[in-house]
Amino acid sequence: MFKYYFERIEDVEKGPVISLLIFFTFFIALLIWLWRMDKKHVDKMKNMPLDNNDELKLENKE
Amino acid sequence: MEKFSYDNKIVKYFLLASIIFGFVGMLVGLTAAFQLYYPGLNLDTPFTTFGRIRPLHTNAVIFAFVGNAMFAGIYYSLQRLLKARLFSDLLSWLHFWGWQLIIVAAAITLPLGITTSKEYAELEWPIDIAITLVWVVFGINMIGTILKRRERHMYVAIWFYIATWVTVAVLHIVNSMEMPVTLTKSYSMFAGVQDALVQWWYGHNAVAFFLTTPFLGIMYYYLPKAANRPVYSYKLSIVHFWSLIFIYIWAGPHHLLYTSLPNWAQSLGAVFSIMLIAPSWGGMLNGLLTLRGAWDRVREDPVLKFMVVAVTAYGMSTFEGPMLSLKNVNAIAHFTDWIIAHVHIGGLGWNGFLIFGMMYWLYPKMWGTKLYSRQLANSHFWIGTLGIIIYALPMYVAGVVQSLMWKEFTGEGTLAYLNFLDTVESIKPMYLIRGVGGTLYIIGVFIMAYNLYKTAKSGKFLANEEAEAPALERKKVVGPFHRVLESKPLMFTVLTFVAIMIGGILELVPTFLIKSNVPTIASVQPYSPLELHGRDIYIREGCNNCHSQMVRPFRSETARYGEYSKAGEFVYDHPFLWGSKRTGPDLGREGLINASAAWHYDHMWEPTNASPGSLMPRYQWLYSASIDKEMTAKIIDAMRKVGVPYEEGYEDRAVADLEAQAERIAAEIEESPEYANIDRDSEIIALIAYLKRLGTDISKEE
Repeated sequence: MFKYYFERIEDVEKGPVISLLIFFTFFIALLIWLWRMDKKHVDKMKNMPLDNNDELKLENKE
Repeated sequence: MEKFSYDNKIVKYFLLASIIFGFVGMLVGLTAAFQLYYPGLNLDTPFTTFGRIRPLHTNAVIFAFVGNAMFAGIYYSLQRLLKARLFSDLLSWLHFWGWQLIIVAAAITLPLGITTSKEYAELEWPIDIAITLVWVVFGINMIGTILKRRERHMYVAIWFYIATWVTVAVLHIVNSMEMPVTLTKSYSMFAGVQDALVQWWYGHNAVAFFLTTPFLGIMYYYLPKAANRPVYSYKLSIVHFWSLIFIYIWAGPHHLLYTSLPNWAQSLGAVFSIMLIAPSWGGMLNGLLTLRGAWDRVREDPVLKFMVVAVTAYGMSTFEGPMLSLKNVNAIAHFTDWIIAHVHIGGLGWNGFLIFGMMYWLYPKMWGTKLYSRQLANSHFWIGTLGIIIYALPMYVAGVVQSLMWKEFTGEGTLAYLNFLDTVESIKPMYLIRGVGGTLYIIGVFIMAYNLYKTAKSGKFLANEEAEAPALERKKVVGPFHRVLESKPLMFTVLTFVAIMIGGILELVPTFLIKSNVPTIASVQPYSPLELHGRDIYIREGCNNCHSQMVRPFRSETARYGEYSKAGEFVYDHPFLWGSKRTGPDLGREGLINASAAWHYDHMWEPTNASPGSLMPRYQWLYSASIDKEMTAKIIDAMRKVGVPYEEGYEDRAVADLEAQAERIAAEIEESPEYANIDRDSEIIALIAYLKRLGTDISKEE
């Protein structure tokens, strides 16, 4: 029975490949979302830590 | 507008705990460092010997110094980013005191030799349970705060905090699966190769998710704060967050290159480690570029100075890490002081300096005053930086020099430095210089503590900081996916969990399916009862901190130590004891190399007798202490429960077997004229039994 498991380990290289595909797809989808992201929203998020700071706010343009 | 207040008191307490335990942890580290130059500093007591205080040092700096600072950093920024007070004051204080109690428990148990031997997870099972409980408290408090927030979207720092919480929980639970024997002793559920894989999946991701992700979150909050400008690229932060957590979880096996771990897992670890450069450097560049156009301020502001060096150190060690994962580089660096240098670039540079920068920023803020002395902070910066350099450089030199000596052959084809001690002698001065670097670093921390104390005295502590913000109206967020995700913390948490579990499951599960007895070596048998006692002593004294048990398949190693180690030899090793550093020689084939019981008996009493110039401490207490034969049956029983095939009822005969073997070994020692009347029950006999067994099973095959 253990031999059976051991033989099935042959398939093991498929795991990482599947995982790489999942990650790659996710990564590409992420890039597309980012590309389409609303500029105003990005600026708002960027400035969040500085929100309660009454000192001068400087822009760091992308 | 709703009125509320931010809880600064909990932040203050965590900061104080970080400074106090930071001192302790670093001083213990310094002691351990000097012990490698002056073995006399082991003080001849079990509690202060290197093998026990090295884990004390690593646990103290990781979980007490860095851990407490991390909680302080998270709790301060979390409240402000979410415009809400922490979910529950009670949970905050449970978290604080629970964590300190765990640290105290660690500080007591580790010197007592109560340890599982698994690196950065040495604490025994009752403390493991306590850690789990406190971690859950921390999680409820954090998620609770997120749920009652007044800010719809979660800033990037908070994603890193969530990823930290989720992943550390998973890692801790899986790696702490153990079978209790007594209140202070347990055996890992996993054995050999599987135990090694789980341990380094944990060990590597402890670095990733305890020392890296929370501090990237901290960087994303405090660096823009200190520089007073937003992060360079928010989009980059999204890309590098998801890539980082997805890839990091796979990289663990790079700690096990050229070991008996199946090759596919080694390759997997190496490939993902190389890929890690991209997201790591994404984070580093995002940090450094945030200072674009503000570099003039870095010259003046100590907070920014510390942060710039921290982020640079992060960049260096995340470049070095992948390079060390290349098998040919790893062949040289592994088991040497190179790795010690590498982790201290990360620890002293990245974690330490980011924490110092954060502290210099937080103290004046929370005490409503200005930093007591900018000049002292600058002195701290320069002394600390110098300390890191003087620490790391000698360790790099020592690592490379020693490794090349291990591998050098003469023209006749024999090892040039057959005596391991020759390679130790050549790097001893480096150990001394490293200690000087460490001393400088601690002096810097001392200067900081004084400066912060004076700062606090000059101001008034604001325990509850008043704030106001409009309540969050319930409305459905529409738009691009990530924008929606930023407003859905629970979904975000689940997705993070999924991302890390893909790697964890696909990497770990196949190794478990290779059932322990599959690459079978018929002659490999479970340990005898006396050997099990000896193995427990080996673990208690922390021998694995300086001695590996893993002969790698290199000519230089097979020539020195014998046949390389096979996966099938470790199937009964609960836990595995492969080690990660060779301050002394490998013991994987000790039973074949050094079969003389009398030699061990003499050597452990006074190592410099047998090996002049040895750095090994004396273990004279093993000669007077006796093994507890009441325990024997319990040990056998626990081992059987984790899968070691002792036959039913063996525990009843175990003590008789044990005594017979002890008699044989003692009689063997007494053959040499200088020894007589050796105590058969003494611990040293059990330890020798174990050492004589190491690596011998395989040669019984013929």
